[in-house]
Amino acid sequence: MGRSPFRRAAALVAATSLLVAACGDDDPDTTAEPAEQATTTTQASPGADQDRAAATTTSSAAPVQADEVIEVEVRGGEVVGGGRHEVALGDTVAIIISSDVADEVHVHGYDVSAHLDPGASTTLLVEASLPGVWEVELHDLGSLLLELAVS
Amino acid sequence: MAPIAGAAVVAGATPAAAHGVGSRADLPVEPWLFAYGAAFALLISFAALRLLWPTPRLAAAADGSAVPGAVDAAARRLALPAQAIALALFATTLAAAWFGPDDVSANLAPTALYIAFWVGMQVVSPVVGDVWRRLNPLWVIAAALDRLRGRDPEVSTASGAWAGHWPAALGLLAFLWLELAYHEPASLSAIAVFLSAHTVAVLVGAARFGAGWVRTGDGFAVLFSLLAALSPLHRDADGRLRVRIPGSGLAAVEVRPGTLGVVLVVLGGTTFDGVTRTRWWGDVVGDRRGWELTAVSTLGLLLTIAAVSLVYVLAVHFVGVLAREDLDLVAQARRWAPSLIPIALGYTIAHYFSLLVFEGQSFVALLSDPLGEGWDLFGTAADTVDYTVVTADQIAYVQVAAIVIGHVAGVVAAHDRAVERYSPRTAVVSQYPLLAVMIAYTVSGLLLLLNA
Repeated sequence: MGRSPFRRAAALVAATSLLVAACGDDDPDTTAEPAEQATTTTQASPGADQDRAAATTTSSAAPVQADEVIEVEVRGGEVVGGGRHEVALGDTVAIIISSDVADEVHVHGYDVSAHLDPGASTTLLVEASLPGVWEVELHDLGSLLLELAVS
Repeated sequence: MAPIAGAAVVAGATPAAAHGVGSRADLPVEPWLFAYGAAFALLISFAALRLLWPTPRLAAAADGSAVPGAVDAAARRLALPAQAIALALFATTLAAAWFGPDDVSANLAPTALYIAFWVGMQVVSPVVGDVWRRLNPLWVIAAALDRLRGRDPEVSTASGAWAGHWPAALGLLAFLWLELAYHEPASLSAIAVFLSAHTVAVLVGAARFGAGWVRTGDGFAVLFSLLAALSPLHRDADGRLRVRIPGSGLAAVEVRPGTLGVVLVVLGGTTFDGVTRTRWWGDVVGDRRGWELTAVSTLGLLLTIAAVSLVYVLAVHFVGVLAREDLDLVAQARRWAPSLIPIALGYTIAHYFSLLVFEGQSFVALLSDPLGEGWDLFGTAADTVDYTVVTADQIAYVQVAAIVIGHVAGVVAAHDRAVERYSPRTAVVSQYPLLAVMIAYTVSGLLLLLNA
């Protein structure tokens, strides 16, 4: 858990993420195609170089280009749809999180972080290039959101 | 790219992992690798009964031969600076635990305790020998206190000997509880309290019984010295450095009251760590948190140690029955204890190899800024963990190899002891129960890797 990459990446991701809009209905079932509501997409592809925090923000109008979509919801301090999710090495994984409270989500190892806004859905794009079982955690709630098993 | 550490927006991470620090877990091993590992262990085991030596060999090899005097002298010259470094690291870790930031990614203490010290020394001791015997900061302090009082620290006092290794086993149980059962193993205050309590407990014993107490009462020191029995390097009674066949030292292990307790606590602890990584355990725990989680985990840890111990005690009971030996169960259980040492090491490597490789890199980075003050003492503060230094496949091979090799070494050590005690025919028969228990440990160890 090197502190520097973690913080550096977190800072960069936070600095470059944009909350596109804060409107739309709050139906959590519509998050598979997150075009209907407020969406923040954060993309990171860890590479050998230090610039692993290359984060981009995509428009909420376009569907997420991902090989694998994981939907998870934080409701009343509980995680719905957590647990271990298995993805293939090299896949682009979209983790779509809808939360009823503000929080900070962090994908360990990949060092991708994003802010969660209450009532909105946030999409983290992770290029699954590091094998292993990685924790994706919620910092404020202090608990595990899910595990990403990359093999 | 300029570091932007000051602009951090993310609060201190709370690792959900049970094993102290680290937020990455290994992938389950492939079923074929599991099958090969288990089959190989079985084959070797049965071959061992038929083909291994009919007379004891390890005891004769345990002494080895003296290394050249110059090598010995060079090793001795390393002792003082190494002691100084260990003492400085210990003091820094204690200071970081008490006064550093409550953030596992910015504070040296959790990584120093759980990775560099606990896992690191368990790997180092079987390779280079019982170096902790001299490096142990508690020994250095206790020896200095002894000299101040006009006592020779090297002259062992018999007054504390009645306790054997039981205080060590209790100390290790306390540590494993903190690491594996307590719900916040990386909490700085918990680490600070544990380190301080451990230090005070050992030093009080040393003040009462002399510095020799550190070598029998400090759980870490006892465990590392037991693991050093596997090392090709050791010092004889006169302090001369000698080289021997790796593992032959198992025949020379001095088993005291509580030594078996030390080994079983560690074996059970590592097994429990494996259990907690299974999905089954996830269902058992459910959504319990805080002290409720601690209570369930404590029960799980104690039950796992009890189960591992029960299986062993049952096996040695049947060894006695098959050998038609009139020996009480305690003595019988102690006799075979050394053969569990390589199995415990195999479990440790299988469970913590990747943690050591990855989080060990964090340790190097944190050394430059142990208290989270923004220092860069050794120019490593900005180093990042490279998760590509070993591949997932390599980790899996190391895991299975560690368990199988530990198993083979255990079988060989038990066989050697059997032919030493019994007639060749009885020796073979007597080993069936022990073989069964080792196969049980090995297969369950591999099963935990399969279901990780």
